Amino acid sequence: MSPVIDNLFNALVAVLNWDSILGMVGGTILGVVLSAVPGISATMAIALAIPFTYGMAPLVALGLLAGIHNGASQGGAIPAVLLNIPGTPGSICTAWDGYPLARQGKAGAAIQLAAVSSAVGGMISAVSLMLLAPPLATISLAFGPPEIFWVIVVGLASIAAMLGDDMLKGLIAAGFGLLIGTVGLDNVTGGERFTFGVLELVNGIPELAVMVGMFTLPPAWELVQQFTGAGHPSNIKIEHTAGVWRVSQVWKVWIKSSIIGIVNGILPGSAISAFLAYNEAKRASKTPELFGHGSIEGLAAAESVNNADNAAAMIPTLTLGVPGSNIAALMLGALLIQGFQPGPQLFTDAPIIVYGYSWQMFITSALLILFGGVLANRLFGNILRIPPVMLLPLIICIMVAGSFAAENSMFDVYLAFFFGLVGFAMLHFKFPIAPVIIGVVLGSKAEFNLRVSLLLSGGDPSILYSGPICMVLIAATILLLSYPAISHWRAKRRRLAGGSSPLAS
Amino acid sequence: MSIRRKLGLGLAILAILATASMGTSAAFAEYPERPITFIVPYGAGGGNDIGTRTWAPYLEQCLGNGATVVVVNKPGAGGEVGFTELANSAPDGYTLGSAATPNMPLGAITREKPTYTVDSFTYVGNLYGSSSTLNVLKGGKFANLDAVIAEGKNRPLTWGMSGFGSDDHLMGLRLMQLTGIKLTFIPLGDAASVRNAILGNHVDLGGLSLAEAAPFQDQLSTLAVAADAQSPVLPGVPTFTEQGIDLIGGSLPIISAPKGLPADIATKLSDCFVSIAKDPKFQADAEQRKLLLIPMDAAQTDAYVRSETATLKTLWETNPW
Repeated sequence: MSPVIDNLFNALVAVLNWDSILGMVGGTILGVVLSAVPGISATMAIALAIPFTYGMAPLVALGLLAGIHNGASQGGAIPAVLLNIPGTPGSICTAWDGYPLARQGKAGAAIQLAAVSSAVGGMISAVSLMLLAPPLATISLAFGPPEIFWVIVVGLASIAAMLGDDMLKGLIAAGFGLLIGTVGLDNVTGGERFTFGVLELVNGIPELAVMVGMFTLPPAWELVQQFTGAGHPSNIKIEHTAGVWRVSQVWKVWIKSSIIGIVNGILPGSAISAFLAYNEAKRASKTPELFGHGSIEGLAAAESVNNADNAAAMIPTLTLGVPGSNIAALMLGALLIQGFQPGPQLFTDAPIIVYGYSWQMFITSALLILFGGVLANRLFGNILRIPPVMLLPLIICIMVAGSFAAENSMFDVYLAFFFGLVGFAMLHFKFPIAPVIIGVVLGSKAEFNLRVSLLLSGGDPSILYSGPICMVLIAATILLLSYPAISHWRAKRRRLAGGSSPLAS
Repeated sequence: MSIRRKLGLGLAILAILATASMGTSAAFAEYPERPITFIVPYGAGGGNDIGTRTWAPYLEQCLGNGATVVVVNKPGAGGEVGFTELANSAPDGYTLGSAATPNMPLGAITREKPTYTVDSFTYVGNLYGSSSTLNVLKGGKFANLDAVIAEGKNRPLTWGMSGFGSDDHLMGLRLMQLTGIKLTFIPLGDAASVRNAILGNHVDLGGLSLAEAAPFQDQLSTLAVAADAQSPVLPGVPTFTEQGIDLIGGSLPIISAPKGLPADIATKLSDCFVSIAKDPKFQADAEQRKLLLIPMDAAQTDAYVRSETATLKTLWETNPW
């Protein structure tokens, strides 16, 4: 233990010098602000920043990137709460409870809760990176294609728990998402699917275009519709109302969501842990009916899981060179530029860098309480003073800029508008749109891992259910899929047991 | 004319002359005027990616004029996604990329409807290369190459590789031809995933480049190198030839631009790469990153790609996979 403690201490000292602090603070603020723009995801924020780090000293560069990484995972909550428009894919669940809280006059407290939840998730994750990286990396090695396939299926199955009333419509939406995910080059054989000869589609439909279109355009329109006399500013005020939430209400949710985020981070190839954590919080909650209408627990779960993913995703990245997430892949590039090669020897050859970076992830998470909460409230509160009739064109401009920025391609912008219209149509016919995103992000990964698994076994499907990890995951999938049926049955039982149940509909 | 009009006319003429002179100087403007995108058709952390990020700062220095090289990863389909994107980019010198051999020619040869051909690129130069190696899990089922071959004649072994048409795929194919073993090819997307699959015991064996195998020698056992001599990067690891199998293979990243690159830009880039190869600082960096230096200028690179393509075409026509 002693060399680890020595390294941790020395690394902390190295990290607390002015350059590094400046990098961390600047990065966090930049991350929060950038990701608050719908269309600029955390991934894009890091991709934009990495070229600037080329000439910097390693700990300054890593401090900046750690700040952006954590800041950008939190900042998406701001428009989600204020405008019902998620700033990043991870904030989709945040909007479900954040916006209703804002409509109840608790916007300031909601943003503060989002910031603190993110901070807690990030700090727990940073600790896991510091202390548990080598053993956790061994766990990630145990997950081969069959196991990763089931992890992704668990993610897809979490849709079921969110389908609400109309399961069929939710499944159709998910199916649509899966279909979108098949467009492009098949990762196994390289054949083109559904590209119709359009060159830009060969790489597939970018998930960001789908997300930006479907989740920005309809709420922006709704926003304008709601306020009669669209010339008046919204009546959502940001004041810090104390007593809206207490730590005792949410600490359990924080811990569970952080664990879900960490597990998701260490497994390469899994994504969208926000929905899983949200569902788990709903399942374990004593007040599940509040979810979607301003549940404190829901908001806490949605935000802490995103940041918990961050540092943990760097575990397989640093130890095995296999990125645990898209951002981790970019960070891998940044590390290589600085001259550090990932692998087991990184912890022994460059301990100050590795532990220093872990400390930076920890510190920048803590900084979120300040920058993601209080400062965000000050800065972004002014958005709400803009009359909605001006807000809509502003949001559309930002949406265009955001969807263009990823690939410098107008085609992505057209796609975003197309999916915006699709989103309108779906909402009009009462289809849920969240399952579409899950389908898009996870579908092609699930397919790839399934096909590789079958190649490994020569076509024998037993490879999918013979490992112990697979069996655990299959059980989890079945549980998730039967959740709506079970809760329906339970509610029915309660109703039959006595009409005075508080949950009687 | 009034004074005002004269002044106005004079200013107008001045403006026209100024613009015209800007116009002429624009024709001779220094390249590069904006960031250069370099497409790496493979995932971050792989051999190609590591190599590119090693030389990129040296190219920036050589080009001067505030040049920046932005390295972008576009993995997929064994590199074809990246090659196609490069082939379809504007040949203005601001999009370059790696048209790696053998992957790029194999994509053009083996596809029914290839999305590019060997003529779709202008070949600028090459700095380094990599030999392929055969790897298994240390302390696992196979102690040496003979054990692999013995087992491979009994049952098909699972061979992890980055994608169809990659250098590790080719090595596996040639191994099958030369030794009679049976292999099932498992495309895993990128080199780091292949390494993970070997370490996690999900595949029997896998092909990795030297740079990808070297940092993990505690957990990986590299059984053979497909080169004509043992590599200083992995001392003590025998070559295939030493073990009785005439197998040499690897990949070269082949720095390229879309075809039709203007001659002056091509020369500027090519000269830069030639000087980078001679730079002792770059050579030290390359050694630290376990890159094998194989410098070639534009003409040599072009010739190499064409001859490799011819060899691969013969292989495909006599023994398609």
